[in-house]
Amino acid sequence: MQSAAEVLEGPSLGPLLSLGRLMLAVQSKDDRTQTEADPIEQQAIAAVKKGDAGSYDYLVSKYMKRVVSIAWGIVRNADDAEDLAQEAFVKAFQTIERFKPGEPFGPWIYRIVTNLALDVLKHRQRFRHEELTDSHPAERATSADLPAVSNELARRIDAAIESLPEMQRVVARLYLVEYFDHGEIAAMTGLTEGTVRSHLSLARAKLRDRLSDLYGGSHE
Amino acid sequence: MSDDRFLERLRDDAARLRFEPRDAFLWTRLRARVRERIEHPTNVPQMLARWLRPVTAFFLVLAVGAALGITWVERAHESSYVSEAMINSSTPVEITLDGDTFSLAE
Repeated sequence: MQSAAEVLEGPSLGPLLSLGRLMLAVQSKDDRTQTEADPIEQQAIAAVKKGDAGSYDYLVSKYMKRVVSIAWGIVRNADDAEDLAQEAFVKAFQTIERFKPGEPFGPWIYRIVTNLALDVLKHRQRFRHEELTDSHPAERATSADLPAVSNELARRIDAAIESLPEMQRVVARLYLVEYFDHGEIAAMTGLTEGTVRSHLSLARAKLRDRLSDLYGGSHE
Repeated sequence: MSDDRFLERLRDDAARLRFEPRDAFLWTRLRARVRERIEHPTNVPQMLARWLRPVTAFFLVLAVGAALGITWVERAHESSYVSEAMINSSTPVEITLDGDTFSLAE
């Protein structure tokens, strides 16, 4: 059976895409393990708690890409994502006294930025400021927002995810794109793990239907 | 293909959807903005100024609008008064040109 990339781009790019996929997987794994144990991170947090604001730069540099990516995945606007990331880091700094020593900083900052981004979505819904974003969010993401490799495949998957109902979309994006597991998504969004699984299950069925030409239908 | 296998493959392909900034300076700018905010936090006068500025601007616009409105009403009132006075005047208007006097009265 052909891979989704082969269906879209032909067999010649297959090895390259496989390599790219492998590199992305390795990179993602690195990102995951980085949040688990980092003595420099713990030292930086301890220094910040003692009043050394300069040490916070290490934490910002380490997590900013992931934080912006999470925010962008939810609000789908690069400027908003940048502002949200900034707010999240400032908020984390202001409340760092509450942060438990020895714990990784990642989950905490991810939870803060997710909550801020979800607040933006609620605000948009309430005031209907951006009707275009609510009804056709995928249209706001230009091709330049997506990596150059296999743009068409990325665009198809992106459009399919964006067509999901809001919380299914958020959960699917955090699981599929950001590689968070069910428990982490539950902690970030404030949902129960069961609700996360339920959202993901519904999203999977819809995605499978909408991407059946790339991945095959459920009866294959 | 099983549901789990589908999700696994989709997850592999969707990993490339992570945010890639078009702006090369985004990371530098973000670091600088965070540093600026945590090293120079907003103090009370700045917070008050942030709130008071739009309120002041609102009242300023309101005052200018009211002043313009009053001026316009007063001028309209004056011009109607002058026109009325001219219509009601019983004195004929006379114009003299080269020693000849012309009267506008009937």
